[in-house]
Amino acid sequence: MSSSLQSIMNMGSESLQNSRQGLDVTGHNIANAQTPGYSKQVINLQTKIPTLRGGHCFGNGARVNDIARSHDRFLETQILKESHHLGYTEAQGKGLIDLEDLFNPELTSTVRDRMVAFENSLRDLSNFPEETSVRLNVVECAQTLIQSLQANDNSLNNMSRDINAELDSHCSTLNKKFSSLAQVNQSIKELKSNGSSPGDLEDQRDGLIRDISHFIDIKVYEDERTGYIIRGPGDVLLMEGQTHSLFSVDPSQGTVEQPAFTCSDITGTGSHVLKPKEGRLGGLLNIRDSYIPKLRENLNTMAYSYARKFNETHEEGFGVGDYSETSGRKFFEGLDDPRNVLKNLKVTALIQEDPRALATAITGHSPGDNVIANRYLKLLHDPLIDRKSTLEFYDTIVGNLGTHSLRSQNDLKASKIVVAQLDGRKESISGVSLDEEATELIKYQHLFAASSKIITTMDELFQVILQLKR
Amino acid sequence: MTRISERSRIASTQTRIGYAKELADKSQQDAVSGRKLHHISDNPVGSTQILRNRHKLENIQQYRRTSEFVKGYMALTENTLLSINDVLIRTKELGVQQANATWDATARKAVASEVHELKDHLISLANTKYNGKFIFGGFQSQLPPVSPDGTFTGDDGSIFIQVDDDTFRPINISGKKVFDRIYSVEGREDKLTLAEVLDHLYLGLEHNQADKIFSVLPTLETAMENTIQAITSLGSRRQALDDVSQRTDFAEEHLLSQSNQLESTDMIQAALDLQRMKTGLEFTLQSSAQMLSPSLLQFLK
Repeated sequence: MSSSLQSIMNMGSESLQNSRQGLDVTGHNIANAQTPGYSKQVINLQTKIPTLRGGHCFGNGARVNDIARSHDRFLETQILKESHHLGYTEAQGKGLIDLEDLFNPELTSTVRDRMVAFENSLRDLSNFPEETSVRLNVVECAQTLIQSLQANDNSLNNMSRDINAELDSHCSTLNKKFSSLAQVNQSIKELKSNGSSPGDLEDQRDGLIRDISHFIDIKVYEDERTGYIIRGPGDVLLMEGQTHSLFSVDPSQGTVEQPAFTCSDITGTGSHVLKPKEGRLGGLLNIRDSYIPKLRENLNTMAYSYARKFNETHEEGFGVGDYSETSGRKFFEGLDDPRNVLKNLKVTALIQEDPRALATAITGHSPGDNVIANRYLKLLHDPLIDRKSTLEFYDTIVGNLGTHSLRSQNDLKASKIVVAQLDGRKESISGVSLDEEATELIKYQHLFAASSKIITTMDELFQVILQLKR
Repeated sequence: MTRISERSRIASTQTRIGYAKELADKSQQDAVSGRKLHHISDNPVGSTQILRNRHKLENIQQYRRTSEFVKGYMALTENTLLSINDVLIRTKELGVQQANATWDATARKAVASEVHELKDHLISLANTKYNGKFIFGGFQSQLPPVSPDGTFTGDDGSIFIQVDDDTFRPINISGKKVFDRIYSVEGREDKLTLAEVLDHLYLGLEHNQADKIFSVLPTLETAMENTIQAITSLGSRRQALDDVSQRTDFAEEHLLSQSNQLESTDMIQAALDLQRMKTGLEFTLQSSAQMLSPSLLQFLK
C-alpha cells in the first residue's frame, strides 16, 4: 500500500505542476492581451492512463497534453483574400483622389477655366477684330491654356514617377518580409521536429503572410514535407520552405516610365514579370498603367483635335494690316506627331510676334470682318471627338474620374467593413479576454491550493505511518 | 455568445469614436465652408453640372457686356439714321420750295449754300464711329465709308455678334443700301450716290435750273424710304436683342439657383446636423469611458 501513498503524493505534485503551467499560460495570455496578431493559448489537460489493481481501475491524475493556440485556418484564408482587396482599394482610392485633386482642386479646374478664358477672348475678338490689344489677349489666353494643359500632363507624369518610387520601396519591404518569413519557417520546422507546437511563431508567420497579402495577391499552401509554399500573381512560385524569390522594379523589362514589377525565379536564375491584380501593388500599377496613360492620352487627343480644327479654320481666314492680303496661316504649331501634341504645342512664332496675323476675316482687306472669329466660337461647342464638343469631352474625362473615385471609395469602405468583421470573428476566437483570464487565474489558484492540500494530507498520513514504528 | 476579447473591445471602441469624429468633422466642414461638394467624387454628376453652370454664368456675363455694346452700336446707328432722315427731309423741303418757279437765281443761290452744308453734314453722319468702328462701312470698319467727294468706299459685310449661346445677330445695317451708287435721277444716265444726289440739287440751285431741282425730288423720296427701312429693321433687331437679354437674365437666375442647390449647404440643416453629430460624439466618448474600465481583475482581492 505504501507505493500507493507515494503515487497519490506524485499525483498531487503533478497537479501542482499542471496548475503552475496553467498559471504560466494565463500569464502569457494576459501579457499579450494587446499584442497584435497574438492568438490566445489554451492548456489542454488530459486524464492519465489509469492502472488496474485488484480488479479496480485507479486513476493516475492529469497531465498537460499540449498548449494549443485558438485559431481558425478557414477564417485566416478569408482574411487573406480580403486583405488583398483592401490593399488594392486603398492604393487605388488614394491614387484616384490624388488624380481628382490634380484635375479639380476644390471643384475648380485650371484647364477648364483656361478654356473658358480662351473662349471669352475669342468672343472679344469677334466683337473687336480691329483691336490689336484684343488680338494680343487671344494669343496670351491660348498660351496659358497650353501651359495649363502641359502642367496637367507633367503632374500626371510626376505622379507616375512617384508611384515608381513607391513600388521600389514596397519591393524592399516585401523582400524583408519574405526573408523574415523564411527564418520563421525554419524555426517552426525545427520546433515541430522536436514535437512541440510553436504557437507564438505561427502567429508571427500568419502576421507576416497577412502583411504580404496586403501588397500582392498570394496563395498559401501548407505541405508536410517542405513546409510553406507561396504562389504569387500568375501562379509564380515565390516561396518554398526557406527559399524565396527577390522582388524588384526593373526598367529593362517594360519602359522607363512604366518599369515592370518583377521577381527573381526561386532557383535564382531568370526572373518573372508580375502583374498583381490585387493588393497595394495591384492598385498602384492599375493607376500607373491604366488611369494615368488613359488620362494623358485623352488630354492629348483633346488638344490635338481642337488645335487641328482650329488651324483648319484659321487657314481659311485673313489677318489685318500687313496680313490682310494672305490666308493659309496656322495658329497652333507642333501637331506633327499626333501622339505627342501636348509636349510640342504652341502658338506659331509669327502670330506671337505680330498678332495682326491672327486670322479673323473671310475676305481680304476687311478689318471689321469677324466671320472667321465667329467660326472659332462655334468650334468649342461643335462635336469634335466622339460626337462630343471639346468642353464636353473634357467634362467627360473629369466626370469619369469622379465616378471611378467615388466607386473606389465605396469599395474601400465596403472592404474595410468586411475586414473589420472578419477581424472581429478572428478576435472572438483568438483574442484574449481579461475577464476570462481572471477566472482562469482563480481556477488555477484553487487547483494549486487543492493540489498542495493533497500533498500536505499525504504528508500527515506519512507522519502517522512513521509514528507507528515508535 | 460571441467572445469579446480585449483587443476587439478596444479596437471597436476606437472605431466607434473614429466614426463619430469623422461624421462630426464632415458636418463641421460643411457648415463652415457652406459647401457640401469638395471633390468631383462627392457627386460626379452634380459637380460636372456645377462646372458647366459656372462656365455658362461666365458666358452670360460676357453676353451681357456684348449686349451693351451691341445696343449702344445699334442705338447710335438708329440715331444717325434719324439725323440723316432729318437732313433728307430738310433737303426735300428746300427742293420742293425751290422747284417752284417763283424763286429767282439769288434766292436759289442762298439756298444752294444751305444744301451744300446739308451735304457735308450728311457725309459726316455717314462717317460716324462707335468704339473705333465706322458703323456704315460694313467690314471696312477702319476707313471712313464716304469720302469727301461723296463716293462710298465701304462694303456690304454683315457683322454678326454672338449674343447668346447659339444666337449670332447682325449688328450693322448695310451702308451700301443708303449711301452707294444706287440712285437714279432723271436726266442722268449713271446712278448716283446719296451725297451726289444732294450735289446734283446743289448744282441745280447754284445754276438756277428748275428742272434739275425738280428731278431730284423723287430720288430724295427713295432715299428717305431706304433710310426709314433701315431704321425699322434696326428697331425690330433691338426688340429681338431685348428678348435675348431677358432670356439671358432668366437663364442666369435658373443656373444660380441650380448651382446653389447642388453646391451649397442648407444652413439650418447643417446646424442641426452639427448639433446631432456633437451629441453623438459626446455620447460615444462617455459610454466608451464607462465601458472600458470595468474588468473582473478589479474585483479580485
